[in-house]
Amino acid sequence: MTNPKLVLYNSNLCPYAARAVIALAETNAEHEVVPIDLSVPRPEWYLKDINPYGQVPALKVDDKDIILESLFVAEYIADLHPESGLLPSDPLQRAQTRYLIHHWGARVQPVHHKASFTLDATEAAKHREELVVELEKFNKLLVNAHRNGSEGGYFLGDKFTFADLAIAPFLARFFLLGEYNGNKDITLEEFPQLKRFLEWKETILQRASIQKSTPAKETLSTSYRKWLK
Amino acid sequence: MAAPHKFVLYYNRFCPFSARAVLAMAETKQPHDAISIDINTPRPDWYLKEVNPYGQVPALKIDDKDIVLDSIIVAEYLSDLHPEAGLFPTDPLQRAQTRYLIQHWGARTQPAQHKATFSLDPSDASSRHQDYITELEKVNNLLVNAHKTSEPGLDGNGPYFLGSRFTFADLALASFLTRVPLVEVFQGKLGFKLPTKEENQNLARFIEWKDAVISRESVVEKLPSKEELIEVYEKNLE
Repeated sequence: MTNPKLVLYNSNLCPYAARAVIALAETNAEHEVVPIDLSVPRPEWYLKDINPYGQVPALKVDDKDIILESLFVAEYIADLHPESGLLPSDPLQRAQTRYLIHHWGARVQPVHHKASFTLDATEAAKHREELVVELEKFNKLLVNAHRNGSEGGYFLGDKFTFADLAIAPFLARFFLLGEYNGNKDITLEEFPQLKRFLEWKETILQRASIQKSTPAKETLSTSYRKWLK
Repeated sequence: MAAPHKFVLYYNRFCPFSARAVLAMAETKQPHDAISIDINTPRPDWYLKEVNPYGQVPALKIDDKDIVLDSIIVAEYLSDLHPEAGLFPTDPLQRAQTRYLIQHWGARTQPAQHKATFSLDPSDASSRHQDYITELEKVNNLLVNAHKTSEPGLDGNGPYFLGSRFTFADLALASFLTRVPLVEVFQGKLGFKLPTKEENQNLARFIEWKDAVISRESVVEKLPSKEELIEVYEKNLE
């Protein structure tokens, strides 16, 4: 089967689009990139031909089909390249993968956002405490991963897989917690119970495809300032 | 081959999300115990402690130790366990479109369907009815643009999403489609009628799909009937 032609509509600052960028890098899939500037209204052609909701990422396949939603784009790319091993084949590992991603987005990320961007120091400190509570639950999910005997820092052991990929861009932005409002980033010294989470985050942030797809810390720190309230 | 797993499904008959797990069990013929959870009263402590701290259904307990949460994840897990049931297409684009249809319905269609069903405010009846029709037309469009392959039942020759084979998108949306007739039941006196295929060509494919899914044997057997739904939901009318 020949590989389809892929065009990724991307923005370098967007963590959701980064999922697609990482998937393309990890599978070595040939593709074109069309940059979309999120700081201005989307051009008409983007809304009309690509995504009426204006968001990135979007993937155009063989000049006709469009795939929207970062996780569906990333999973599509992973499905095109099963040899990459990004998606485990074990049903329970797959379920745990999907749930880890869902849990991060639904429970952890919203609280991280509040803890990072709330200007009022007292409120911000309260959100940081809530974040720690959520991270403790998340830490448990990491500890309970079905690794089938594999040792290593990634979610399922020594292989980088889809759960690591999907959450990586948000881990790369995790440091913003300590940037704006007097809150400090989460460290092992202060929270030894979060050892597995911190080790997992560290493992992921050292991976080449993650580093390549993440803007410099200064760039992120400046551009995310607009979320402060 | 490993010993078969022991499954316990925690569900509620009237929860459309639980229905996904119930249908997946039926379609994969997976033996399991089913425990009904009352979602109209606070969850018992044991449920919060041993099954789902967030209290929701469905939840799946495997071999008395692993828990799988979230309706789509539970249904997908069962589908993965039973590839012979053919619930998930293998073509990457069909898989992506499957996921997208489900997500689109939840994010765009369902809120419009909910509003169209339960709000009795006559002053904006016609606009919320029209919004609902507009959303159904978008779904119609997604159905029409389903990718075809040469795999048996996935070649686009209806009535299900991908062809003659019942697959994951049909399963995941079945319980919401069984609630489509309620709009006319509750809103008929405010002037709502679901157009026929002849009256609205842009809904033809949606109607064909909806009719096929809600009359599927597993759906008829396992999910509440229209009459049961009417009785339960009449209380939610505002």
